Amino acid sequence: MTYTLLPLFSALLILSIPRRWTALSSLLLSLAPPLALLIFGAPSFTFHPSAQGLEWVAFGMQNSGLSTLMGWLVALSAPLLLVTALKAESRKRFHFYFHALNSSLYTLIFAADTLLFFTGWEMMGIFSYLLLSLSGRMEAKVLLRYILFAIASALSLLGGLVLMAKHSPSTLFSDIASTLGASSSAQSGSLAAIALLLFFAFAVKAGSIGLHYWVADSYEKADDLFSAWLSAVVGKASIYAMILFFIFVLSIHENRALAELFSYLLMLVGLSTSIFATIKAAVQESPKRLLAYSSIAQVGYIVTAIGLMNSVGIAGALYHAIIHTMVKLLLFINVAGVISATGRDSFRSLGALAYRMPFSFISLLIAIIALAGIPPIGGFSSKFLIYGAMIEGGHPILLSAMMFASASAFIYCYKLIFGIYLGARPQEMREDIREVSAHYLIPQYIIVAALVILGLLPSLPMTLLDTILSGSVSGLPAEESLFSLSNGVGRYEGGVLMAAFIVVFASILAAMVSLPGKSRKINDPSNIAYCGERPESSLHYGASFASELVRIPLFGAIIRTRVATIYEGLSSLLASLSGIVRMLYRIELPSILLIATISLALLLWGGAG
Amino acid sequence: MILQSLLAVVTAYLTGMLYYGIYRNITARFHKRIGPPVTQNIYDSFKLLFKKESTSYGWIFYMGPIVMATASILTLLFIPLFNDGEMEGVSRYGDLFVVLYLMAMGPLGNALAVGISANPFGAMGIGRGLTRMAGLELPFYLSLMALVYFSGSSDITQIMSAQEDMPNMMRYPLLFTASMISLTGFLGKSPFDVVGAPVEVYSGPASEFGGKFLGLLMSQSAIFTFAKLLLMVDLFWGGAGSLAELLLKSFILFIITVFIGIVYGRFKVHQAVDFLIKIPSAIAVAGILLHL
Repeated sequence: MTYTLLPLFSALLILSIPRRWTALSSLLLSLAPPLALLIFGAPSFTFHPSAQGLEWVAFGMQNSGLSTLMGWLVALSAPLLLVTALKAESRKRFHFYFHALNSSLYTLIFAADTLLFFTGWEMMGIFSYLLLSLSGRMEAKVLLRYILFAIASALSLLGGLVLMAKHSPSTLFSDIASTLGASSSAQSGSLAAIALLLFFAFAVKAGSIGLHYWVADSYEKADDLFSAWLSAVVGKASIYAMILFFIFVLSIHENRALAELFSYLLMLVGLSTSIFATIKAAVQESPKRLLAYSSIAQVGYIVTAIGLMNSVGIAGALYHAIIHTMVKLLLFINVAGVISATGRDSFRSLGALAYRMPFSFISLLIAIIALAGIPPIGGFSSKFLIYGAMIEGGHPILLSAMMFASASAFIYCYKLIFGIYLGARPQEMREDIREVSAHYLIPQYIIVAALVILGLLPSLPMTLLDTILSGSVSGLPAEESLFSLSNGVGRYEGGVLMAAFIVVFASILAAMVSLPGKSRKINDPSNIAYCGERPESSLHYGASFASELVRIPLFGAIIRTRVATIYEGLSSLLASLSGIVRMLYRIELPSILLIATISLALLLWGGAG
Repeated sequence: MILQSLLAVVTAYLTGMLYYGIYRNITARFHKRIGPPVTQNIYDSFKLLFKKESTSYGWIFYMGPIVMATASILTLLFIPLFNDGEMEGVSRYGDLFVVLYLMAMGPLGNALAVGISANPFGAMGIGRGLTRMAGLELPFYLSLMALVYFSGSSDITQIMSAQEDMPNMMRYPLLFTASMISLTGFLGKSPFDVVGAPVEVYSGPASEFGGKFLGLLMSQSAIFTFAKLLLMVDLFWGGAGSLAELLLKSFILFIITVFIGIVYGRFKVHQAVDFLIKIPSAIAVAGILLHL
């Protein structure tokens, strides 16, 4: 229970610390879980209370490779975010909820049974809700939407777990795996029901297509640092849960009756989510909302990769989860820095900050290169694995659709950097804006270094991923060296590519500098060729960038689609039904007559029976 | 290895420039003009590289063409030049996935430089360019991923060597057709081209690349053109055993795109993307289903 109690203890301790030390003590306390992981490793125990009639109840913590990986992801990300919080966030309640949320994440990550897992899942929803409610920008309807979706997810998860308990001697994952995992075809029906209930629960949290209604508003309205945490870390809980239940506990990939059907379900949901969210991201007018849709799209890739249910696919999913955690932490911290420096959070009022905030510009540039998956930065490695797995799984058409989504992502990646750092300075923006403080830059550049290292040494995480997957799915292709990565159909030589990139880039740069011609810098931003017309407003095109996509019929249909319409329809249907039910308990003549008629009909039907 | 790589770059530069010169001549004849000498582009690029002064918007503007040229050269270096292992350089490490993503690096570099110039029309051009690129890539990816699937490898050398009996363009004609449609756009030919700066940027802050920047962009464009043709020759025509064979095969592919470009007018970007994600993509999907 160490990893549940440590952050919980930290949260309580923070309440008793003077406010001026809150952020610092929060940062120092966040170092406890990674240190504990380093020194003591992950926890492992099981406990059977053996009370009369409750023999099926068991608690436990597990130190599986998957749990350890996800545990490290949370443990290392928290201090990075809290370095920024030193400058940006000193509220006690934020730090209290933040550590309590991490306690819930560790609980569900290290849980070895369904009860602790569900407890962690519920706590995660509650503390996320409380953190969302702290934001000054938050609106009641957004909070309500968040909690409704969280409840839907929890109920579906509970349904799945109860069905599991029905077929298993105890609540331990190991017992469930031994009864349901090696399921005979006779149990496929219940296994399918369990898998579908769990999938719905996790898909809500992953923001899969149709269920993403809560994501964009929550990410946009949340405090900037919590948006980072929601996207980078909390969002990964659903990925962890999918891999844990579908591969390790239920072993759906080994079930002949279900494997193919479920594989296609995951892949189609994942892919359509990616394409939908990528195009939606390109037309957003605020950086945080764009990043929210980008997160939905990236998690879509991961769901697709899990759907492949082969070793390279799962490894690619986990690798992409690692990369996405890093990239989104970087991007949201970067955007938080921009918002704090300018006081503005819309592409309409941002722009031309590259020379005023050069370090932030460079880190965002590297992050979008990683997000777009362009080599030699780390982001390519995970996509390379997923693509290889899709070929191995025999899905060249789905692969092309995924690569199409990935290529379309360049549009929103460019919009992000253009809208904030390039283009013309909006007239209302102050001229004295300067680079953000080191609190914002240090975490970003730690992540940049990690992304560059992963580009140079793409198979660095592969030993760990191989350990996680061995025994459950067939082994991963052998790696020749840390500098190369194999995906089953090809090999990516990260070291060679990085070296070639440096040599070619440096050679061209040297040649350009040594050419006799001088470059004359245009310093005057008002150096404008009017061509007969004088622009009356800012020339910045940030918010309108990619608005032309709506003209392409397919893209336009996606952009115009409002999932809200479905939920509004559902809501009005429920309201109508409620109206009918309400008639039953109103003490009015029509209601009394209605009840009497129904009662009479029931009596007659009963008598006849 | 370095010498081989340098030779590959020089070959690509000269060939690309000459092809572009031939393209200008052919276009001129269709316009009832004589056209410039075929070597005119080489003179132009050298003249521009040695211009005394060029305007710039600072180091980001400066880096744009350099990143673009780096991407073009890297793309070329990771594609095998010949099918017998001669002059392989670093292309022995060439993987189709890597090459496809390297091809996307250049436009991003260019986009940064255009973006910093603050011209809204430049940004519009970039938006159109990136949108068109996404459209072009769907049929291209479908065709190429099908080849990877059928060959069981994304190693370009292996895909090339698997064509000894019959080139892929004969074995998979539908895939070849779809990818040729994309190639036409990738080489900037109508109906899938995007209007360049001189027409687009008629007002707003000065944003055009001039002097050595334009010289570098012209040079890298020639190299990139050759790299794309080389990729198509390797993937669909079994590669080439000699320089003459390579020049012949790549020229034939090039001239096909030239004639398509001359015959057709330009689509608007949304029309182009709509067409690309429907017709050529459907052709490619049919090509895949036919051989599954």
